[in-house]
Amino acid sequence: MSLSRSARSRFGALALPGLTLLGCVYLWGVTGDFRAVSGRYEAIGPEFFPRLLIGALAIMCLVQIARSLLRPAETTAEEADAAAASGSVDWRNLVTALAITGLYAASLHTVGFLIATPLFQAALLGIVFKTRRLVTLVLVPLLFTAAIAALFIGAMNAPLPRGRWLFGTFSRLFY
Amino acid sequence: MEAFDGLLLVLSPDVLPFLILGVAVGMVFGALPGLDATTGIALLLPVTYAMEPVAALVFFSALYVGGVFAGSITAILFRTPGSSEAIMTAIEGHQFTMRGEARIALSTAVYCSAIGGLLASVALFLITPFLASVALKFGPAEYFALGLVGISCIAAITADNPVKGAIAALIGLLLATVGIDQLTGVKRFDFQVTSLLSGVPFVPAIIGLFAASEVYRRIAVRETRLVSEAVEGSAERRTRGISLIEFLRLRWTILRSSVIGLCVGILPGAGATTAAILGYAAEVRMSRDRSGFGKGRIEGVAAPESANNAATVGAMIPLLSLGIPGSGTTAVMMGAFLIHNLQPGPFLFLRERELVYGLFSGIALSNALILALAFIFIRLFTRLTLVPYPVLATGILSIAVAGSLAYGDTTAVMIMLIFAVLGLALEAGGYPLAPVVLGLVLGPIVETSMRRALLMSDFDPFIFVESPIAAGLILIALAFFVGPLIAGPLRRLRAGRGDAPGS
Repeated sequence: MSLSRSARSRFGALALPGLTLLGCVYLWGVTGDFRAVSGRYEAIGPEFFPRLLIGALAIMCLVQIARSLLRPAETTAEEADAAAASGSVDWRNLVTALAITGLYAASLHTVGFLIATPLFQAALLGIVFKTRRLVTLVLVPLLFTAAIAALFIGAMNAPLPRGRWLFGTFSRLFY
Repeated sequence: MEAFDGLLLVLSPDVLPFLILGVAVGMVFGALPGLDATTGIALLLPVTYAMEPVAALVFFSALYVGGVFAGSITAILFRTPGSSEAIMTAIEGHQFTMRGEARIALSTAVYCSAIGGLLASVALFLITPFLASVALKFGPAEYFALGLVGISCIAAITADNPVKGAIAALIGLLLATVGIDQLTGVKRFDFQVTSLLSGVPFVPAIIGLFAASEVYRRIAVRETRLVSEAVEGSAERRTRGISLIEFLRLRWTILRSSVIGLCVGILPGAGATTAAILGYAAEVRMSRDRSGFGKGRIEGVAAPESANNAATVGAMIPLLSLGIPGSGTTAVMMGAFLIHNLQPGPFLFLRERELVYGLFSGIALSNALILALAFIFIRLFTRLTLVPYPVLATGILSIAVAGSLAYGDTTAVMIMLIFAVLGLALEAGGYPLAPVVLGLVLGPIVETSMRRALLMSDFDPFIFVESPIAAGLILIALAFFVGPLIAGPLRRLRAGRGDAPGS
């Protein structure tokens, strides 16, 4: 599952500005809801600056798309560097890593930091990095979680989530 | 004489240990993503209640100085800015790590931070009253012009592809409009998410954009070699820091950036992050050959590091002389003054001269202490690069999540993740990340100042050129914007003439 260099170049030249352009249309619509109560702000109200930026962004995206269509063969040094540096992309691995992090973030509120963190780390090591050593899979997450918790909860008193129900009771044994 | 008395006070056994401890604790806070000097001071404020006022204030100023420097260590090694002030260092300094020359960037950061801070400390002693009065003349028009100067550096950073640079900067500026509008109180782009009402949380955003996106990029391209291979480089380049000759070549860069950092630090609200960006921008503008910036130029590390540490000192000037905090951190520090029954401002100079000069000496010594303590911390963090990348990546992502959580609820983690994907997409398309950050930092300054200035003048745009300071800054910004546009054709014209027969 890989993305070719030309596909990546098209992504930077066409897809990204195209998607941004669609985003601009949507956000312009959202700015319609920004209404200041005071008439004093009528000329330069809360929607003034965002609309200025959205307009400029849309123009720049159109320029980028036009440049890519009129001069398709031209690849800037920056694009060439980006393409050369990135090699072939393992989409499955990337999406899995992002999904595991997203799931971890979503579960923090319920499961709590102390239980969710070692599970997240073990999942990353085992599924994304294909680590097979049991010692690494078990010890590293436990040690990392203990160190991070000691630093952020013990030393810095940071408000890391405890979780709910049984998970909350478990977390309260420690902080 | 008073300066000497202040120095003796700081060197006394009652104060000196707190100075050393302050720098060390600051380095720990500064190096960890999501935690910075402001968090450190806020968390430790109650601890100093029983301390002598001078010891407590020296401890906090040392923590501030150490924290601002230490952000550069993880920025250079892992492209993970420990604090927002190290953003530009992450962009330029990590390129050295990728070339196996991390020690050059790290030693440059140490020396430039210390010297930048020390130069600004001299100014703290000599010109505090004068500089404080200049800062008072900055109104909305001047702040708007200053913001424009900062944004204009995008043109230089992205000379290869100005359109992509502009798109990235506009995305950053647009993201800066999220939250409650400061002038009207209207909610903007909050999408019913309460955490977004106060704007895009900056720390989770930069953690996502730089630290997490780098981990995901390596996962995507299956690049899991040891980071130590990149840090140490080949055998012949191993353990080399910056040479004396290389460092002496940076003297004007350090001096220029320190002056910029000091001036920006004095302006209330501007802060060390803006100073680092403007210091970097000025360096790009002044350079004859701009092609290497963003790809690992030593000036690109020296300039922001000198500027941000000078700005930490500069931020103390309005706090001490006017009672106005020059940055978020000094705003928290004001609490330290108040719990010790001290009111910062002109009367502090009259009533507590020994304490004020003791604090000045403490700030100067903290910057000198960076030279002694930094290399111990660098050795510790460099050891981390020997850890296999899967383990390191897991650790970086976990700290990124914990760091984001420290700044808010689980929404902050989602925002970090969104910014990681944004960073990944932008880099995959060849879009630079620096302008996004630049827009995010300078957006509120530019928008609020512009609208305030227009409201004050009944929508008369001439307000931006009436003041000599604002007019001068706008001229500089215009020159920065237009410069690269006419420089290219001019160079081609000159080259064309050079090629002509008989020339």
